[in-house]
Amino acid sequence: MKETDFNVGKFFAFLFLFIIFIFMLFPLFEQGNGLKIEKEIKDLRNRVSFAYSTKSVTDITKTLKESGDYSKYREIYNQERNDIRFKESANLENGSANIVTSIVLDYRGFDTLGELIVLFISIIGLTIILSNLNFVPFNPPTFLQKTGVLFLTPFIMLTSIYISLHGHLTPGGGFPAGSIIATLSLFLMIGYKFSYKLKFLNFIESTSGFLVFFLALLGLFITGSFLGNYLPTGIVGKLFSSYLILILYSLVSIKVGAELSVAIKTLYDGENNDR
Amino acid sequence: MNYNTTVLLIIIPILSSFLVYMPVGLIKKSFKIIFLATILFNLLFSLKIFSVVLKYGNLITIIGNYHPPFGINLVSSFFSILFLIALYIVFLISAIIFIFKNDTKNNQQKISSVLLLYLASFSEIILTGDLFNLFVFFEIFSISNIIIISLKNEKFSLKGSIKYLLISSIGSALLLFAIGYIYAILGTLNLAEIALNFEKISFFSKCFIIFFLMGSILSELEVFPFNLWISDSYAGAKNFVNILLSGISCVVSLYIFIRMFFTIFNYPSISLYSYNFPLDIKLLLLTFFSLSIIVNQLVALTSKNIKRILAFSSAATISTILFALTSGTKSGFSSAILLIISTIISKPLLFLSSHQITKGKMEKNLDSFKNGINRKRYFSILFIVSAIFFTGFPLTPAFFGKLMLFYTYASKLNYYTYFIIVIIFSITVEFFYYFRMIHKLFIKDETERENKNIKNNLSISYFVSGLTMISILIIFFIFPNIYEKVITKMSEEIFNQKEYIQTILKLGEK
Amino acid sequence: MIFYIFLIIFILSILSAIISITVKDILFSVLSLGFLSLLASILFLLMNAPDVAITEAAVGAALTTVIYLFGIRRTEREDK
Repeated sequence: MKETDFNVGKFFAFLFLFIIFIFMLFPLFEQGNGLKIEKEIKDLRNRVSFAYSTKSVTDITKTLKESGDYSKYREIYNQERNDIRFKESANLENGSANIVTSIVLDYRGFDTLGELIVLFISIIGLTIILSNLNFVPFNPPTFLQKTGVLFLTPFIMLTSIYISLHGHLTPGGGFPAGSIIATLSLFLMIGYKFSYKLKFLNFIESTSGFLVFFLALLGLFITGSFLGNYLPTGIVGKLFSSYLILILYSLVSIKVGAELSVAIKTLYDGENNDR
Repeated sequence: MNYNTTVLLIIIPILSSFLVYMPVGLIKKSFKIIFLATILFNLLFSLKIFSVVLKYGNLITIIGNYHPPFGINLVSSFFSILFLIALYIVFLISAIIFIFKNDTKNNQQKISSVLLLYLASFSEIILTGDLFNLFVFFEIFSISNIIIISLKNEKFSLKGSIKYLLISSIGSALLLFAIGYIYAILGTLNLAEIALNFEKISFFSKCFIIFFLMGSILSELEVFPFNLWISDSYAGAKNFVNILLSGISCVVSLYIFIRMFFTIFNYPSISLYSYNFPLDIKLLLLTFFSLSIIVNQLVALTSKNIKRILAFSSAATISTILFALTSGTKSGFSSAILLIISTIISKPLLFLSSHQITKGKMEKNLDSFKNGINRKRYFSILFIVSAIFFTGFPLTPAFFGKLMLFYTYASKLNYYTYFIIVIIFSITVEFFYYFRMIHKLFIKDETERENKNIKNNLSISYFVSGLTMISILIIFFIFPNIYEKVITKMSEEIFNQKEYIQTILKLGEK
Repeated sequence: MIFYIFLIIFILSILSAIISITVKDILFSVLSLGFLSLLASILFLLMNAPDVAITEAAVGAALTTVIYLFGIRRTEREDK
C-alpha cells in the first residue's frame, strides 16, 4: 500500500457523506400515504412501468380515453394485459423481446436520445479544450502488447457486432457495443499502428447522429408523433423484428463507437498530429 | 389539445448541430447560415405556437404515440412559451455577436454546434413535462455551460470552468437522488401525476425532495456558497458568453424553480410546521437568500474588475428574485416576474456596452471607463440607459418589481417583514456602484495618450443588437400596460395547479 | 450464501472507493476506481440487471480507466 494523506478534512467529508446517507434512508421508512418501502415497492403494479412490461400501453390508453381520466391506470392493470409468447406473438407495440430495450428505445426513447447528445457534447468539449496542445507521441508497442492485441482483436470485434445487432433480443445494445468498438479502435491503434483521421471519425459520428434523429423525426410526419413506430414490428424473439429499434440501435452503436474513438485518439496523438 | 409539432423546437437545433459539426467543405462555407437560420426558425416557430396557445389554451405534445402517464410529453403554456421567446431573443443577440467575430476561427464550427445544443437543451427544459427528461437535458445544459465558459482557454476561464464543473456535477447528483426518490415513492415520473399525488407523501419526504431539488439548481442560480465559480468565469469568459450566462443560464434555472415549486409542489400550501419534523422552510430559505444578497452586493461593491462587478450584481438580482418568490404569494410572484424582465433585457445590454467601452484597454478596471462618453458615445449612452433600467428608476419594470416586493412583505406584519432591511440595503449599494460607474464615464482621463492605432469604427453586430435591446426597453417604458396584462395571466397560470394537471391527465372532467 | 457474496462485494467496493480518494499516487486511485466499477458490474449482474452490468463493465471498467490513464500519462503522476 502506498502512502496516503488521510487528514481531518477528509474525515469530516466522510462524516458529512454518511450523514447525508442516513438522511436519505430515513424518509423511506417514514409514515405517509405514498408507497411503503417494504411491502408495496416490490409490486410492479404500483408503477407506470408495469404497462411497459406487458406491452399494453396502447390498450390501456384506449380504455382510459373512454373514461376520460388518465390518472387511474393502476386500477385497470389486471384487466388489460397482453399474453406475450416467445416467437409466437406478433404485431405488438414494439417487437423487442428485451423489455429493457423496449423501455430505453421506445417508451422512453427521448431520454436515450438526450443521453446521446450528452456524450456528443462532452466529446466536443474535450476536443475544444485539448485543441491547442501538442503531445509527445507514446513509445512504440512492445512485443507482448502486439501479441496480446493480435489474439484479442477478433473476439472483441465479434462481441461488438453481436451486442449491437442483438440489442432488441439480449442484454446490451448501442451504448455498450459502441464502447466495445472504441476499445477495438484503441487496440488497433496500439497493436497495428492503425491510424485513423479525426475528420473521418467526426464525419461518421455526425452523420450517424443526424440519421438517428432524422429517423426518429420521420415518425412525426408518418405516425403523427415524434419517435412513433412506423416500421413493422414482426414476431417477438426473431432477429429481424422490431425494425426501428434494430436500425436505431445499430446507428447508435456506430455513433458511440466513433465518438469514444475520437476521445481516445485525441488523448493518444493530440489533434495537431492528425496527419 | 395535441400539438405534436412543438417537438421541432428541440429537434431542429439538434439536427442542425450535427449538420454544423460535419467536417465537409460545403458545410464549412455555409455553417453560419445554418446556425442563424436555426435560431430564426425557433424564434418564428415559437411565435406561431404562442398564437395557438393564445387561441386554445395549454397544448400538450406527445412523444412516441404514448399518452402522458406512460410516455414523455411536452407542455406548452402561456408562461413557458413567453419565457422561451424572451430567451430566444437574448440568444439571437449573443449568436450574432459570436458569428461575426473572427478570432475563434478554427473552432467556430464546433462552438456553434455546442451553442445549438445549448439552445435545444434550454428549450426542452422549459417545455418538458417529465422529470427524468428534465434531468437529461439539464445535464446537457450544464455541460454546454462548462464548455462555453472555458472558451477563452486562459488561466481564469479554465479555473472557472473547473469550479463550475465540480459544483454542477454535485448538483446533478443531487437532482438524480431526488428523482430516484420521487420514483420510489410515487411510482411515476410525469410532472402532472407528481403534482396530483405530492400532497399525499409525508412532510419529511417533501423536505427531502425540496432540498435536493434546490441543491441541484443552486449553482446555476448563483446563490452565495455555490457561486464561487462566477468571479473567475465571468471575468475570463468571452463577451457573448457573459450575455448567455447572465441572460439565459440563471433565468432557465429560475424557470425550473418556479415550475417545480409552484405548479408541481404547490409550495404556498406546504404546511410550514410538522410535529415530527419542526422546520420552517420559508424562514430557512429567506435567511439563505438574504445572506446571498448581502454577500453578492458587497463583493460587487468592493471589486475593481468591470465584468466581476456586473456578474455579482446579477447574482444579487437573482437572489432578490428568489427572495420575492419565497413569499409564495401572487404579489411576490409578479414582483419576481418584473425583476426577471428587467434582468433579461438590461443585463446583456450592460455586458455588451461595457465590453465596447473598455475595448482596447489593457486592464478592464473601473478606470478604463474614464472619458467613455467622448470615446464611445453610442455605447456609453446604452450603458447609462440600461443601468437606469436595471437599478430601478421610477416607471421601469425593476422599479415596479421592487415596489411589489415591499408590498408583499410589508402588507402583512410578521417576523418575515424584518427581512425588508436586506432589500433596502441592497438597493442602496446597487445605486452607489452603478452611479460610480456612470460618473467615471464623464471624467476626463489625463493619463490617456492620443492613440490612433485603435480603430474606432462601430461593429455592425454590436450596433444592431444594442439597437434591438434598447427598442424593447423603450417599448416597456412607453406601454407599462403590456406587462400588467401579461403578469396577471402568468400568475393565474402558475397558481392554478389543477389546470396544469387537467391539461395532461384530463381527470374525468370536461 | 448469496448474502455473504453481497457482503464481500459491498465491503470490497467501499474499501476501493476509500482507497481511490485517499491514495497519493493518481495511478493507484484510477486503478481502484476501475476495480470499483468492475465490482459494481458484478453486483448488477447478481441483481438481475444484465443490461446495466454490460454497460458498466464496458464503460466504467474498461474505457474510463483507459481515458484516465491517458490523462495521467499527459500530466504529472504524483499528487504534490
